[in-house]
Amino acid sequence: MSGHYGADQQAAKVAKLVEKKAQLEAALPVVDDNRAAAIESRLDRIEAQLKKEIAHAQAIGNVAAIKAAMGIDGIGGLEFQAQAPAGVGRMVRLPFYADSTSPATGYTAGGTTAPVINAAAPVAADDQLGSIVLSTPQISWATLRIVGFETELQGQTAGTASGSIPNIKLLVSDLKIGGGANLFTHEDFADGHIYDADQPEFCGLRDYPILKSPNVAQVTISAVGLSSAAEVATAQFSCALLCEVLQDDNYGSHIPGPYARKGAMVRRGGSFV
Amino acid sequence: MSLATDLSDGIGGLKFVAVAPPGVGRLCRIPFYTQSSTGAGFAALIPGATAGGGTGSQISPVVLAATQAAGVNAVEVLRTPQISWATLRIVGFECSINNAEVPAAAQPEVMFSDLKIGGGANLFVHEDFASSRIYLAGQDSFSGLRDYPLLKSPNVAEVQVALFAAAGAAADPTAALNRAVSFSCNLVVEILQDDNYGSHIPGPYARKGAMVRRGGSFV
Repeated sequence: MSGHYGADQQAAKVAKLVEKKAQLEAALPVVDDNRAAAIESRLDRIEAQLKKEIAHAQAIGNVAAIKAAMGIDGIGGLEFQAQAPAGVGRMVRLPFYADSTSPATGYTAGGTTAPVINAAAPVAADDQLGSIVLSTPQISWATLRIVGFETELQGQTAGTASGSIPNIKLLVSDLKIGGGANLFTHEDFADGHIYDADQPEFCGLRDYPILKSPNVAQVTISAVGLSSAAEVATAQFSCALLCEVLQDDNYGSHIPGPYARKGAMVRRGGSFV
Repeated sequence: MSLATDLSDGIGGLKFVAVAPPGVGRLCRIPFYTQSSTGAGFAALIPGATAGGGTGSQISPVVLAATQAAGVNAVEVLRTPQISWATLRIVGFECSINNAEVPAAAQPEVMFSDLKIGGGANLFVHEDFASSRIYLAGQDSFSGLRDYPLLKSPNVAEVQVALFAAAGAAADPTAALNRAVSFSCNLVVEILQDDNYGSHIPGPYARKGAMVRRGGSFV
């Protein structure tokens, strides 16, 4: 508690304001339009008063007491944080599909209806599988902004000595929209693990472009790894675009996350300004 | 965020957080590649090609490696490609390693040393080798570096890698899969200027205000 004169009175005043605010907010959904307008006006005034009290609290070193009075921290200044959904239309995943059920030697795919692909590393002569190109479907019913890319790789299976050789690794290259420039920072292949869905953070892209039908996104994928005579290395994988839905024919126009809003897309100088 | 905003965010002070994409041009990765050939004990895994000891690649970053003898084995140098189309700021280093899940033999440990740009000073705090585990992708936080230098063509970044194990195997890792690891490593970078996509604003950890030094020759 602050030793500043008036600190206790300020905390009591803030507690009263917060209580009144909660009462008004609870009443808001059940009153008529005229009363609702009056309540909103009152809420605005309370917010303004609270802002003043906060500025005053910072000046007199009474912030901890005010936060407690507002009910926004625990005893002793402990704050609580919980993982939340991203919000409507944010961070949706759009899967990539192969164009057939057997896109190349060694690969078995779900075709244009299932995004999962199986890769079996060749046993003979230390050979490696080639690469395949995956595409997203045309999304005619929405305008999307691409904000990321994700891979998902399951561990290898089969073999008489299962698990005794290193897992297959996924390589990714050349993510692009229509005929656009590469969105990856690497011109050649990179380890797909940097885009793995299990990573605690997302890997960046060179741009966050719009994806609008008839354009589709494409990425080149390869699975590399060696089999032994005793064990055939196989793995299943899938890839997805991370998108924000800007406009949806069925569900309306959403507000994208802060990372994909106008203010976050500003570029300094150059031809893009 | 102000206290007033906090007030309307949750009842009882609970905050809600969603992991978000980092923003345009932030936390991008540049892979390290081997040279056209590798030393004994290393082999690049190249799509559509045949792997073998000494095979290098400047298009595939995944390297298969196995120890040839007990102790610290031969050093291999990996390099990033020249990035002529962008100016980058290096903000981290990370690696990804696949070991056998049920090893039938002693598994080698991958170690890194001497990360540097062009002829610059070492960016690692360790002068000698350190375990790759401290730079492993998937950690809750990135391991720090001594500086966040610019990476601009024709400069490239390079890092030394070596294996340690209690026992050795053959010189060709493809012939000793039960003692082999496959790994790749990447620079974590911010794109400051991109010839195709314009000039981005870096993350707060790489902005001017966060790069200030106290005293010394850098002021």
